[in-house]
Amino acid sequence: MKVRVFLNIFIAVLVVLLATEILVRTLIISPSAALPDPELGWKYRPHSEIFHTVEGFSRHRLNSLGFNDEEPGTKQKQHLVLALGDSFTEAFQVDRQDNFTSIAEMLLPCVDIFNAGRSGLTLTQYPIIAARLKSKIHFERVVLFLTAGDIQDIEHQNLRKTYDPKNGRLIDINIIVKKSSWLKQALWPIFEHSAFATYMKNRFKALDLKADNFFPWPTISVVEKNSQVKSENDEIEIVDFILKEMQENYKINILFIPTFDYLPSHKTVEREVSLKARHIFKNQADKLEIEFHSVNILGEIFKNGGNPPVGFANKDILKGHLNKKGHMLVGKALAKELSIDCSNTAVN
Amino acid sequence: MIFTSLQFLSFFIILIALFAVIRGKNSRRYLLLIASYIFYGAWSPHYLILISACSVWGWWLGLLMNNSNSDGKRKFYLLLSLMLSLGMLAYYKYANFFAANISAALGLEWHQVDILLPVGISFFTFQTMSYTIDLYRGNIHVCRDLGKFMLFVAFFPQLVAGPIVRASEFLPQLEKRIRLSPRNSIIGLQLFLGGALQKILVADNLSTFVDSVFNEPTMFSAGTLWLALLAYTIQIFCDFSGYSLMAIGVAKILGFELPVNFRMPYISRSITEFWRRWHISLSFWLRDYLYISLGGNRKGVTRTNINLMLTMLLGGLWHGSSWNFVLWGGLHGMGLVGHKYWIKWQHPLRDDKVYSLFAWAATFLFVMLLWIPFRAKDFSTTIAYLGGLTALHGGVNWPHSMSIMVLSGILVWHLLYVTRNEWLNSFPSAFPVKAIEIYPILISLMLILLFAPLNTSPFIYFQF
Repeated sequence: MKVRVFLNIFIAVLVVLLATEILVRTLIISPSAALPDPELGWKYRPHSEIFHTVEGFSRHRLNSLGFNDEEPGTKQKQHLVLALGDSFTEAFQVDRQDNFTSIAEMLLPCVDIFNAGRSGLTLTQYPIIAARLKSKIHFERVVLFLTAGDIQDIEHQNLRKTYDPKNGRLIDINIIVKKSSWLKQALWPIFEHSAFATYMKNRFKALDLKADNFFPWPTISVVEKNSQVKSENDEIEIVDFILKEMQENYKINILFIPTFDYLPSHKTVEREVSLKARHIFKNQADKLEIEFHSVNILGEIFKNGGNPPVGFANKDILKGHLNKKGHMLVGKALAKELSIDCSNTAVN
Repeated sequence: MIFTSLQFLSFFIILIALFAVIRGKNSRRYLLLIASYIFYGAWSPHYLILISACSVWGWWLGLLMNNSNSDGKRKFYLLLSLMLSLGMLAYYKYANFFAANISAALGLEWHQVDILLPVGISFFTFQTMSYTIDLYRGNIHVCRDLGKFMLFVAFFPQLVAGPIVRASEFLPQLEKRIRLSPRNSIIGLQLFLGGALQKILVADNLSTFVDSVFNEPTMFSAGTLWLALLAYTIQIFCDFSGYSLMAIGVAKILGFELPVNFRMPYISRSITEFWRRWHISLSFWLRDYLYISLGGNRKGVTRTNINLMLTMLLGGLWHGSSWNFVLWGGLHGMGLVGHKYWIKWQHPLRDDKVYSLFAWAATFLFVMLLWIPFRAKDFSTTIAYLGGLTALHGGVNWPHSMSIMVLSGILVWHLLYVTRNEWLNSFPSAFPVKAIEIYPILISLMLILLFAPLNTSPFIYFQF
């Protein structure tokens, strides 16, 4: 009798787990597509399928380089531009044809913009991505999509700064990536194959149970958080160093995506962290004569009525990542920023 | 220590483990009393003094009343007991409200006094009062055992948010030995999980959306305001009904029966029916101890209407020290009075299906609109919200998909309830202890794991 009861319970648990896995894969999330990376903390597995429902509902197939764009070289355009940024650029929240790099490509038919955005990436990691992609795709220009998060990340990352002992100048910056624990490594195959396990891992992370060392989101290794930045001068020093490094190797443009609070009576106020970040990036860009543009239309558009350019029906309508409207605005700003004349170019 | 916390889960597991060890009839009762006091003391140990005092005077004055032969003395003990209970309630819950309003009326300056509202004070004072009144009316026997009486007042499953249990329902259950049985545990667990699903999956998922919209109603479009109002209508039902069901489930596991507190109130076809289905233990308490005490319907039409209005105004005030609650109660009172006249007029049509649908729609709309003053933080927000519902200006449009999904689920639940012979009502007891019972439990747990918002909000009725 007891054996039968336990057998019934065992079968019921299996059936419910299987049903849950199917439910999660169909409606919520795909299994983890993250792989460890010694420099970046993690990267996406090439050709992974990503089902995103945190903000909006969209499904994406990543390319062979692990980014949310078509296979490099398939577009055969006259100009190739590399777009570097964080989750705003990655744009899992909207369909690929609606993200700002695709919008700009539509407006500039002779330009292929390779989207190399990835959530969690930050300014100090963009040179690494650009260097890796240089040998694989032959871009002529880099556009950095910067947000307030890039300055906040600098404040929290554990960076190793190397100074020239002779003149005291900053000569190198490294992000210290912590190796994952044996437990995480042991559990990782489960996350790679189970959407339910991945979803639960993400939920536990979001609970902020101080379990970073146990289940860091979203990968098995993580960029260590231990700030070496003590003042705004430290931030400026790092921004200056990265921008110079990028400028030495590539032609670059900066597009800043400001963060606004969307208030009653269709008022908008740019957040302080955004103002500060914009100020730092603009000053350093001006100093180095890098083209800089802030997409302030994201705040202004709300004043005309309707919904803001951020937010989603399934999350929060007033904050979060760019929605379709926001991507349209940034896409137009990007096309304008690139100012490439495609009028005499045959479209492939 | 809310039911949906790990703290409560640990507490309950330890209690069940102790029940396995402690087997004496009285020992188990005292264990339950100690557990109830630990449960209540977890909010603030200071509150234990209040609940103990309330229990002691309720019990002692009851004894004195019972031992007294003179009507005058019996009335004196009744009034003294009621005054003590109401006095405590008035001080902790309404002192600032009354003082602020009196000061405003007299043009004096008033600074808010820092009084922390003890959790569940409205519930345990009402239970104590019901005992005293029932004893005075001769409806129940006196309770001579202080321990039993203290457990009646402090029984932890229903202590902080009801159902309001009457002495006649609870005290006889203490005469029997407290037994844990697999049958009761399975049913209790199912009821508890059913309540948890209502609270965590429905109410908590809706609250994010509802809170955002009610905080800034002027920001949103009319469509969004209607959706948020509907969401709040369901949120408050599932929040409170969920808590009641969890309380009933926990009590069931411990071998106690608590009264049903909600019977699908939103299928009501009149406001009178609504109050027979909504927070039943409170509405029947108000009927039996306030409305009837005021004279009920025995003193003519005008007096009946006045009694009804007074009962509902005080019922509104019971929910909180704010004019918004008084307004809510008053409008419900007007609805009840209006319905009394209406039934005289429309009687021949009552069984007509079209009429039933119209009556349901009108009742639901009335109840839903009255949730605005109940939820809005002040009167100006109430006005702004009501204005926004009819405004044509283009505010932010937020078709919150989680709310739409949850509301669709609730609609299906209600339709099934109406069309399938109230099958859900018999759900917990319909299953014998068989393998099939494991599935609802596992599915409930899985749904909670998957869809519970990460920050569970406290139960709405805790504040009352």
